[in-house]
Amino acid sequence: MSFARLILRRKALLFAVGVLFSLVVISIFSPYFVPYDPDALKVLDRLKPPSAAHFFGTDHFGRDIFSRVLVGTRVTFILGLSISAFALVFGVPLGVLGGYYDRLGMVIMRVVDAIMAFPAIILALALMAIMGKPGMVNVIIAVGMVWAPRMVRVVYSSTLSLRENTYVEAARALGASSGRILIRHIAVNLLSPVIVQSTFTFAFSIMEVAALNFLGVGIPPYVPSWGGMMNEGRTYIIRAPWIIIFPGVFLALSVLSFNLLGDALRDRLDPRLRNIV
Amino acid sequence: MSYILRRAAGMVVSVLLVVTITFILMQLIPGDPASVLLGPNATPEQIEALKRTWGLDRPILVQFYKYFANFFRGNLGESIFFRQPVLEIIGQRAETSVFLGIMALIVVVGLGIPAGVIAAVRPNSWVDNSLLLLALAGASIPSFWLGLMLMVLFAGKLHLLPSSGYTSVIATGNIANLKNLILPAFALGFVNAALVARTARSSMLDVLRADYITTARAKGLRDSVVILKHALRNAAIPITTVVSFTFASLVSGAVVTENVFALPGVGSLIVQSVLKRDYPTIQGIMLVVAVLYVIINFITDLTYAFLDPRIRYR
Amino acid sequence: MGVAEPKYGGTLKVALASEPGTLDMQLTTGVAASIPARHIFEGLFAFDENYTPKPMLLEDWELSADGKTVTFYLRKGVLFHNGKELKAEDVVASLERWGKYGLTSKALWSHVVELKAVDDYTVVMVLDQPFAPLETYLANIYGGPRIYPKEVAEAAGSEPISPENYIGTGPYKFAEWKAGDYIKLVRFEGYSAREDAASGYAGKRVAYFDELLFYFVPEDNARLVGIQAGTYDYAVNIPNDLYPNVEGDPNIVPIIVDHPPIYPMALCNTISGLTADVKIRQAILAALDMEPIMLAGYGDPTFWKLNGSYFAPGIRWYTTAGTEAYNQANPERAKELLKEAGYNGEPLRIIVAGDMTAQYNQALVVADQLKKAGFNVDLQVYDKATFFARRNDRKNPQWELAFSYYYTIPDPSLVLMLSPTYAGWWDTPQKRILVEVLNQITDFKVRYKVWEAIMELWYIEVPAIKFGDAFQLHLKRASLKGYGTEYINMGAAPYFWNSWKE
Repeated sequence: MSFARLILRRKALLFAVGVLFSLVVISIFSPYFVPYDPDALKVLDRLKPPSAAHFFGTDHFGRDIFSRVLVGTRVTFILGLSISAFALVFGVPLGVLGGYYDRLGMVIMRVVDAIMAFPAIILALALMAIMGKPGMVNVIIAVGMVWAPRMVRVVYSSTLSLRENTYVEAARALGASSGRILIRHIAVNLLSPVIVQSTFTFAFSIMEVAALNFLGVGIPPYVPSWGGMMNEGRTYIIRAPWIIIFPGVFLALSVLSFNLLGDALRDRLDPRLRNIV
Repeated sequence: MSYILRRAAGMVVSVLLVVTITFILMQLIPGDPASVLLGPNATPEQIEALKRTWGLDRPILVQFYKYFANFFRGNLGESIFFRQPVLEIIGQRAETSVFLGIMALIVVVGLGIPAGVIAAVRPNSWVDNSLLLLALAGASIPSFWLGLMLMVLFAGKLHLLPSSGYTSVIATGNIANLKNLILPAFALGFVNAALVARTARSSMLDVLRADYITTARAKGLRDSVVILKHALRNAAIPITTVVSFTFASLVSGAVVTENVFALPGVGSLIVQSVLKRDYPTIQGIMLVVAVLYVIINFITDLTYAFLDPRIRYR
Repeated sequence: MGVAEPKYGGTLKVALASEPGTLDMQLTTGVAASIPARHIFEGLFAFDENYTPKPMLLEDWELSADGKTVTFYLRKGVLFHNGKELKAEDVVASLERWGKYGLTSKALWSHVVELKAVDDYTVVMVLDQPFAPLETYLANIYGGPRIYPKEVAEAAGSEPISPENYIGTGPYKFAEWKAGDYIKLVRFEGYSAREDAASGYAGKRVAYFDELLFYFVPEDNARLVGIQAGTYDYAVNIPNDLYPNVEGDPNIVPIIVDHPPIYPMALCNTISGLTADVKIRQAILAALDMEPIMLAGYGDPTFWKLNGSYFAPGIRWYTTAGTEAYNQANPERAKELLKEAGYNGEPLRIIVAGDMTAQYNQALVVADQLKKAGFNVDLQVYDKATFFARRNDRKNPQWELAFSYYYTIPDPSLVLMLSPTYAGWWDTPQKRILVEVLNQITDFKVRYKVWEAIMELWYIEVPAIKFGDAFQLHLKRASLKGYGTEYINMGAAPYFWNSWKE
């Protein structure tokens, strides 16, 4: 790698880690330090533009957007991370096993195809409606069910490719058991595609939760979250754009940082296998 | 050959699975089309009367059986709300969605791949960095936001493009109607273009560093030949994966875009149908979507095998 | 300023906020259906601009001395869109279908003993007791009896009539319904207009436009931008908060629909759960400060008024009876009442539909106020279909407060909360007696007194909580003109006959 590239990567990585670290700190400590109670409805103060009193302005209920964005970090991160974790926990084992064992693979992929055929919003909407009362856990399950199949697909196609590698054939020739091959050779090399897919899952799942709010289901209304704020602010995009802009910026920064982090991890872990997404 | 046959059987299974899952989901979701149609002021008796007329009060297995019996006769039933055959409604809306999808795909591939390739060929230049930043920004913008911004700017302020709606090109024979799809296609495709660009860039970068590329260059082959013949070909697999994901998310993403731009497409049809509990329409659309989806996946998998001869489907 | 010269021809493009389920007016009370459908179908009566019912398809009508026999004399030579002449048999068939399956017919139909066509143009209806709001029921644009041809009415049952049967007597006839896109109506050349001057929905109707196109445009901003860009000539339900965006634009005329307003309310479950105890309901009422609730729901005060009486001022049924208890904003009193009721922190379940934005916003504020008053609030947000399913579940209601809004129906007997089968299920002996009297007496002054008594009872028994009167914002292009010097609008649901584009 050229020297310039190394430095740039380092800077980008530093930036990413810095942002993510700050966000984690914010998510833990912000409720104690924010200037206003994020849920305080002061309807008479509604739709005020950013000012010294309200750094990011107020929304249509008079709630302070700055406080909401900061406190919303916690919920947003918990949601994003839980959904990604859900997709990981279900997606990776199924994808690996399916990619390695053909018969199993056919079955798994047909079910995955079937689930992926449902547009994400529809599936999440249907699952939420079935699970009854809206709530964080139900949202995580519903949206997680939408993203897990995608993870299966990514892992499956990577496994398909990986198992053809010469060193796998060599290991098999040497008599290594399937389990050993799976873990030592294949799973280890899946880290990079899995990580990259997880960063996308994080970003998109947050949007999806927001879309669920738009359809009338989703996380309970007085829990601040970036996606929820962007959806509530949709109507005001011309009149009071600050309602959407600030949570959007935070979201973009998080996604950016996750992606940069993912890239850097990928570079470190195994540069040879980066041609598989 | 046997692979193709087995795969075809698998596809049929997937489609049947989708239809069954849809049916089960609909039964589990509370609410029903009669209540929705008659509205909030209807009495329970009125709702029951309507449900009886529509056969919704019969046992689930009976309804399921009737549905499949009709299905195999090629009859997908009639939409409860529109009183038209489901296939007809889907057909009417399909044009909008198909054109929107194609135009969005053009944005995705037309913007994404060249951007990724250019960035890869000139790593670390300002071109590369700004494209990368743009791509990352694009991946974090909600498409409804982008759509609304575009609408306000190009339609509201500049009056360059229509703000919403779509009139059929096929019915009127007027190609200019596609103007209505430009803003929505861009809003829909931009996010995925960003993803494709990133993927294309990273896979191209890896490939460009490989030994066989250095060899080709050393042999004196021109850069363009190197890029097109060798690098792209090998970078194609991950790009194909992302593009096929894009198709899936185009269908989902179209739901929001169609809503924002008032486009009479299949995306908004399915959301409306779910919200109104129009069971026959929901099932009809899921069937069509499933078939399309399964076919696209099949093509994608075949493309993998074509691009990487090492992947043999046993 | 003189009256603008009307111009024939052209197409009108209207942007609606949602797509109706059906245009069968007897079976639907929704506004999205009513707006296009009222151009197609007509009824025996229609409201004028003061919401007084006037004869529409009738030449005349008379009531017997005992108030139990009604004779309708139909106009002659009125044509349906299929060329057939309107006859008594069509009226009888339509009324019977409406009586059996219509959404708003129960109160009237339970008293109908006989209905028959005496001759081609005369219909006689015999009741078992006088029914005061008869004309109002028949004129109602939300679920009232529109007249269909006999064949259509007889074939129709509980199922909505299908598009090929949208045959009415109105100035426009149904042409096309492109799902998800628009509904198209074209001028009915054989329309038989009345001679008397137009006023509200009554009187002479002239179809100036060749075509009416009603587009379904769910995105609020798209309707707004569409009006600015000239894509649409008229747009309904623009969010009040976007009003500043169109102020000062010479091409756009904002129409603040305040006559009559809509009534946002929360229904109380009176038969089960926490709110079965009237003290709890009174506690809820005591705690609420209506101003922020209306602000959150409807924006700038230009768009709403505080008013605790069911009907808005200006409507003849308006009264201040009972409204001392409205807008108490007294959380201390609420806490007292909770103690008296022995409240132990049980959850107060509030349900609302997330896609009914104004209601959702109001529910958030109400939940906040109730929490501060000591309630343990459980706010549940559902999509519309699920919300209605849960709200209407009488066997096992799982809610205490349900948020909704109501259009003005100009007779107290049509107030939904008075029906024991309507969600909330208010059914005390005092209420029953008052409602019976209300429906039987025909003298307005007496009925008014009875209505006042009902309002007093309302604020003691609290079957529902009204937040105020809310106005909607519609926008029209300046080039769209109507009869008179002002563009006459009839409340939330406009009509487009007697209008043209210059």
